[in-house]
Amino acid sequence: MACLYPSCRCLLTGLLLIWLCFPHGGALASTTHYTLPNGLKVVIQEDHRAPLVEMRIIYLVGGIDEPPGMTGVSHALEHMMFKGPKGSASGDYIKITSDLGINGNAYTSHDDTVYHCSMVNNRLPVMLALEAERMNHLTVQETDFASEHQVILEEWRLTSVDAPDEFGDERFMAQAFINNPYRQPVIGWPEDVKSLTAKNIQNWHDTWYHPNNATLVIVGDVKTSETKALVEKYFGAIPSKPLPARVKSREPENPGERQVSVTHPQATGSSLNMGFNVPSLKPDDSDWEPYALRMLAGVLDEGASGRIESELIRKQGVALSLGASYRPLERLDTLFLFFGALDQSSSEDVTTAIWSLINQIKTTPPSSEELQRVHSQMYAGQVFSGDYLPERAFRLGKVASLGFSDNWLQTFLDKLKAITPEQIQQVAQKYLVPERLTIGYLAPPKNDDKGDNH
Amino acid sequence: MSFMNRLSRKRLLLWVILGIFIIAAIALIRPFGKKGQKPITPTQSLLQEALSQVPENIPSRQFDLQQWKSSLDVPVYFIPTPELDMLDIELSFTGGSSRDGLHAGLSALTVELLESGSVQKTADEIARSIEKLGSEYFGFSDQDRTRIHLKTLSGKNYLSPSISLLTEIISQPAFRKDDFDRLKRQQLQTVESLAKDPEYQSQLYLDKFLYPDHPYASPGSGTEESLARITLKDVQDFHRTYYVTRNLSIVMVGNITREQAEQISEQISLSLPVGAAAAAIPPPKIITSGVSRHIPVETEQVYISMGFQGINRTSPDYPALYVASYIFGGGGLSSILMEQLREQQGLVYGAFSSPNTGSFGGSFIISTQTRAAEADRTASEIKRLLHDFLSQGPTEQQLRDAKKTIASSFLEATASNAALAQQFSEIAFYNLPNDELDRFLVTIEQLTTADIKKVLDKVIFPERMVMVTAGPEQGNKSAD
Repeated sequence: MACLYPSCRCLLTGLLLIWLCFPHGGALASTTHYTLPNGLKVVIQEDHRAPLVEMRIIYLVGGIDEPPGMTGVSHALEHMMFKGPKGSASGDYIKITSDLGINGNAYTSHDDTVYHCSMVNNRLPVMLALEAERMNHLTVQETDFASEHQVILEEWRLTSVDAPDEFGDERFMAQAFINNPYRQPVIGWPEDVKSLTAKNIQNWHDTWYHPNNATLVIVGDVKTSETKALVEKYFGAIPSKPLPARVKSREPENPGERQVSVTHPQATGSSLNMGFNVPSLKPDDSDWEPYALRMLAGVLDEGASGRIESELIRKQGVALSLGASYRPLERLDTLFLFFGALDQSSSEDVTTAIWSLINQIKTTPPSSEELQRVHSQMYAGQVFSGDYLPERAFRLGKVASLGFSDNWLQTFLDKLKAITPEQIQQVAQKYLVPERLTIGYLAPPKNDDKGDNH
Repeated sequence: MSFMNRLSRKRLLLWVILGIFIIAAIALIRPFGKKGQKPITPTQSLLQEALSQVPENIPSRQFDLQQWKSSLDVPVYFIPTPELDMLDIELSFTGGSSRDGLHAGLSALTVELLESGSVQKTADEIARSIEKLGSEYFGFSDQDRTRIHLKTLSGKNYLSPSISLLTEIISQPAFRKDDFDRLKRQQLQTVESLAKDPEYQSQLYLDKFLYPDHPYASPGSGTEESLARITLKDVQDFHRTYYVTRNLSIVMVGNITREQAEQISEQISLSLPVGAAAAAIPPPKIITSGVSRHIPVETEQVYISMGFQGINRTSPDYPALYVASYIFGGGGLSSILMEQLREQQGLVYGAFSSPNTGSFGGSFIISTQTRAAEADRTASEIKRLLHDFLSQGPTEQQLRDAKKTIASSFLEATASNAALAQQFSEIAFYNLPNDELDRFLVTIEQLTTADIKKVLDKVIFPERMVMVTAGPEQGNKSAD
């Protein structure tokens, strides 16, 4: 059917557990990590299967860096990076890439803003030059913004206002985080989206888009030494600039049990989010608990043999679909999340069923057979992800931009393997408790005959 | 010497001086470099230098395609790729939703039920066996075919057990009653949950009018009514009829040897009954007039879809229509639809067109969404842009750019094992020549703007357009 929309935002409800299985590399990859004097982090990985290159530049600025009243500005800036006066890099981006047959796009998340493209390898110098120029100079013109503001509002309507699941997730997130800007939507609160200004967007660019806030990833049919020379040529002279202080919020230790219920005219069935406030993995990598939490998510939902699928879906038929997820690589404290679409069961039945799975693990550690299946899938997933350049660029960039060590991708799997069944039990006991829980319900409007009762 | 002669010499001198002045002035106003009067930044000048040095060529990837028929005449395509220790294998069976008949949803239910248990293993045991090996199994059916895809590590401890599991799943499904009841209920609930989905409901209408009384209009997931009528026997019959070697092609891309590939294709072929090749389906009858429908939903946006009857995958007009659709609405931010509706007018976030092609027919669909107050204007704009595109065809620049981007996308389509497997799965299913990818690119490269216009004239009839909108009740549009 029709192509995918230009992808523009990452939402917390991304369901992929397997994305954490990072490519070890193996026969293909020689990977080089280094940092320019101006602070630009660079990762270059060779892959000579086809004369293609995947390039991405990650700016470590996103939804969580936005002050009240300016939510959505990172996303708006992402849009404006494709507009500008003729003769400017941003203004000519679409034409240049179209002329050269290059496929480029971008997205904004809570943690970062990413510009990525896929191209024949002989186009790399042009794309490096283009990105360097967009980093160094962006002119956000009022006329350009007036038109693009309408586009952003259409995106907001499509992906937030008219989309029942996203609406439910937004309300849920606003409750699940007390002192943490993950609670604000990446696209922005409605009043903020409507009142975006060209001036704020310009300032946002000039504040955050500097080499010392960026990571450049190049994966594909390149020679490392030549590529390094190109990077130096195009980015070397861009000066670093001091950055504002970073948000460092931590959730309170005892947030308290919360609940939010919403309806939406477009919702047909009921759905549910159950999130527990948990730590994420920090770059110093000194904590074992995030690895145990990741294994816990695996025992619950790594594939069709996980407990959720086998117990709750196949055996008990308690929901239409149900999943669990934990993403350790987030800049701030995060959630251990259960989510699902309900069928005829009431929401109480589903939450009761989820609690019974949780209590099962709290009382009896999982079997080594289960852990082995999780490891197998992670190991294979790591190999499979090596097949797709954009996926490798994504993972290399995520890890480097967050400040993890250069060899972290090689050691990640071993750390997961070192987690014992008892450690999984311990994190379940510590973190999957009512005081850390937020439940979000979404249902059709009350007069709809397909409404849920809870 | 007359007075006139003296005067014209003076005037000539005057004109020459003026001419020199004008030329000098022009030279100062228009620098011989690129546009813009602003001083050029260092990074800007580097960009211009890089642009001037880009080579024209778009290389392609070389790979070693091997093709043969297994002992039961099953076409097999194999590409060895030793760089990664994995194998992608895809089985294609002729037999999708266009074979459901009165039981819309049957092919989808059957492929779901396959992995829910074999004669020897329960659903739990199947899942555990696959995941213990780290393999990934995926079954999916569309209007034409059912595709079964397996990703496995290629090392000896993984490959053979994975292939045995795959063979077991496709050839000995248990089709147990409790699994059947559960999956049928889930499919029904999925259909119910889409009752208000504007895109899904629009697509159902489009299919209904573009493929009148034709199997391609059959909803792949079924309806509440059709699902209620499906019995376990229907599933067993569907499996017995369509999951046969006469309907099968096999594609393998990965780090295995030719011997291993031959052995795998034999093992799979021999596990299935020979059966009979699925019969051809006649093309849909040609519609002679357009139709409009509005689906009321409570949204701020109106979803706009416009559909036309199209062509099938093996039509000689496909390359031209593919390029035309790319230029009009397939090419990301630089397509006609996006350039006009989004960049220029701020009406939409995304607007796309695509040529959908099947074995026996196809369609050309344009779709977008916009705030309710601008729905009429946006629809008119699309019609205007389409009218202009049909009457003028693409520009030379548009065609040039499209050829380059399509060539790059073909490179991407051969860059990974998974992409190669998908390409050759399609080539195998539609019985296209082995060098289809190269041929297609060569054909596209030779297309002229006149060629494209000719195919558009032949295929797209604006007066036969099916238009479906979904949004607030007409005449009652919510304010911006």
